[in-house]
Amino acid sequence: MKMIKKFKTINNVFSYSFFEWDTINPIKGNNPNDPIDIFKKNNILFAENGNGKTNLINLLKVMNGVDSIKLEKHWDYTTENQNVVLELDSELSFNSENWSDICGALKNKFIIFDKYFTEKYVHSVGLDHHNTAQRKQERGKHIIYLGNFTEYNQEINKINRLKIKVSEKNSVFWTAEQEKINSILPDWLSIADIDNEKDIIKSIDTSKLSDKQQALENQKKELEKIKNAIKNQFEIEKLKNLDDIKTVFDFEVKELGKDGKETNYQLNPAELFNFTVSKGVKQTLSKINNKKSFVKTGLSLIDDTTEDCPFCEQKIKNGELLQIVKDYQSIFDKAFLDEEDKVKSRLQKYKTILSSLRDLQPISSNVTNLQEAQKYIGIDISIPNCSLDEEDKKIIELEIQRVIDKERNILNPVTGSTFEQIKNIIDKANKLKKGYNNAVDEINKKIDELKKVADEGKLDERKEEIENKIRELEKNILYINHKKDFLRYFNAKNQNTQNKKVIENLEAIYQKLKEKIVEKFNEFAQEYFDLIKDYIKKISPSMEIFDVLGQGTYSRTGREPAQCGFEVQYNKKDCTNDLSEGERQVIALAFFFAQCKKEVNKDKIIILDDPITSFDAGKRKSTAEVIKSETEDFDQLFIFTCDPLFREFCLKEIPNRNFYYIFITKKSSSIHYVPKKRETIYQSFEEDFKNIGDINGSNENVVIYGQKLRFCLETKIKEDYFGYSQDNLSNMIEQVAGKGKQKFESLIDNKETILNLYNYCNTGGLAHYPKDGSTSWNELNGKIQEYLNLNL
Amino acid sequence: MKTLLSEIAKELTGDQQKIAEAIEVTKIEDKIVDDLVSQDIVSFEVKDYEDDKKIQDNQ
Repeated sequence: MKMIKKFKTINNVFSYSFFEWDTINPIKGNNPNDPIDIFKKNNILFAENGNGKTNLINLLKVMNGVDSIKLEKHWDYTTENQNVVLELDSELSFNSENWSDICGALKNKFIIFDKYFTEKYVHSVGLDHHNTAQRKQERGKHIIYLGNFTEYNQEINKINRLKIKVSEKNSVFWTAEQEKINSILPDWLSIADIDNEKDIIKSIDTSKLSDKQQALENQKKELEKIKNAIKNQFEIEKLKNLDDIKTVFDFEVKELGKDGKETNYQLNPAELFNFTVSKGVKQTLSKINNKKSFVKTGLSLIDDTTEDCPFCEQKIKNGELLQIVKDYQSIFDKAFLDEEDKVKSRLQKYKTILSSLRDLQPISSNVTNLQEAQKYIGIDISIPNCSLDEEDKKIIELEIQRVIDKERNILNPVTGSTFEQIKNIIDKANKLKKGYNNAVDEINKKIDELKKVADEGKLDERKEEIENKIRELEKNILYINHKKDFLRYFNAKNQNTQNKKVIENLEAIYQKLKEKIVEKFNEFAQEYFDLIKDYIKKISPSMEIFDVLGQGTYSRTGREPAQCGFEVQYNKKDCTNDLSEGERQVIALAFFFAQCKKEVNKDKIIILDDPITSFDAGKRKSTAEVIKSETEDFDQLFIFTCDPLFREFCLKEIPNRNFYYIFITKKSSSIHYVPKKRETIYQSFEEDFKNIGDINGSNENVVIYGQKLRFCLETKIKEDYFGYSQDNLSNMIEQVAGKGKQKFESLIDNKETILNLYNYCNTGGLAHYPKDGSTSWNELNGKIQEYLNLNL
Repeated sequence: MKTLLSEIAKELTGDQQKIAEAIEVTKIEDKIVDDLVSQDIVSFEVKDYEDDKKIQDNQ
């Protein structure tokens, strides 16, 4: 249990420029240790307008956690320092050093009913479309009892705003990333293309940049050529192919035998160069150098019947062996000549091979033909040089000379053949020839292809093909040069996707919350219907025409909060638009008490700020009764009112209570404890009047003393003479009778004076700050003196 | 008071629950967004690819 014992100090807050509880309320009970002047369980604080009642409630609201109220400094107080000390079980003290802590110092300790509660929870449908607050109400439609739905609505709204916020931030983020990547992309490449080529870009080899650039250059040249070809199509068919080198470099030569058959012979220059007659003869004779044996052998093969020579198959004539030998000699001679011819022939072939070897060179026409083709087609193949170097040519020349020498004198042996070197040169020449012919073949292939394309009328297609290749290469180069940017973009895209999923989920959460709040509202409505109706009947039995129907609704337009409402009907007709102020107040109070009833935690202080505005006397009394019954379980009760009748109802109805009067004295609002015999207030004011000569006649004091005069005059006459604050006729009559005839006669006799004074208090500017000096201090002094002379 | 969000928690999908758990409704939206970012639920800055580092190393 935490009760407020007193506002010990309130300095420089609103109208409280300097308020010290103990100075204003020194009165103790009979027992000096009995602190009767501190707040009790129930407290009634009475104040006329402008005396500081609402300021005090605002201070409590701030402590309750309302951060929208600014605790302004006193308007006519020079010090900056603000100071509030609140005495509970212990003191709560706030000054300039911890001033900000005052907000929420007693967070949610108070349950407050005031005009804002009514405005917040009870709305007629908005009539003024220029009023934003009313437009919101119209959206919720009908009367609204939100209970904790304000917080729920705020929560839902927050989720919606969060979704919008995330969406906006993501939009900014994603737009920036797209702009970045767009600034890199050429006209012919879109972001969609990039998205489709993600894998290509991710895996592209950045080390190949120079290769790609070179290839691009080549393709561009190719494009120029194909464009040229398109322009000169008729020239294409005239293009000539290049010629191969057809010469064969080989030592294997073909020889025609006596039988007419060709045989292969492997040239052996050493053997040819060494060919001499003596050697031929020797070889031949070696076959027949032993005539006896030769003959004997031959004879052994002959018998009586033999007719033909076993060697030469000639007819044998007895004794003609010598002749046979001669015959062989003749054969030998012929063989020798044949061999000599063969050597000459082979030398000739060898010389031919050597000459062609020496004369090996590129085909001159190829150069022209190639240049012609290159006008229309990219041929990056060069025709290699195939000539032998001079050193080799010298070797060949010397060898040719040897052959010539040998041919001149076939029987003289020639020494010093460079055959082995020649063989190497032939290998070299064959390689040169092969390289040359390969290049020629490649070039011819391109020429043929171009011709074919031209012949088939497909040069434009070819051009397009090259353009595509160029585009592809340009893309690749772009991807390589900006790989990092593209990877960043892909990552940003992933993040955008992830963020969008979150936004979708927030929307889903938002939708679920919307469903939930309606569900909660329906539960809420079920719980509250009977209570609200019951309290309406207690406060205003004549309002039984009202019924309260629950209608859980949730709508969203823009960013306006959704509202849930009850509809008030009369004879099944919606009368939401037509509620009077008093009716609204009844419904608001009914809802307030329903909330109090539902409040689980009773460890709270109830604050009621004039809950009876626009109420008739009956409702004021019933309200006081409901307050009594419905606030019993709470820690403490503060009723603030400016209504004397309601004050009296409360004083009579509510037990265990203290009564306080809030009043501006000495430029500051102050809270005065009013003893049970409240006439002492008049007496204290009247004491002040008697000593008015000591008071400074400032404008401020004109107001203060003017209000004191009005309080004394009005309250004293209305309440003491006529029992205005009595709750029933019987008590009023008792009050009037108790006053006695003499007093009433005096009242009647002084009627004019009293009315003049009352008129002066109400119209002479005393209730408000003098504006034009129309009310002077001296004039007020005179009126106060008149009041004292009345001796009421 | 129990938040409405906590009351619908069981009706949410796994991803939605993760988001809901990261939301402290008492905070202002900007702070909640910061929380979502710090918990890697949303992101408004591009994180480097691992490949980026490789590219930088190569450069």
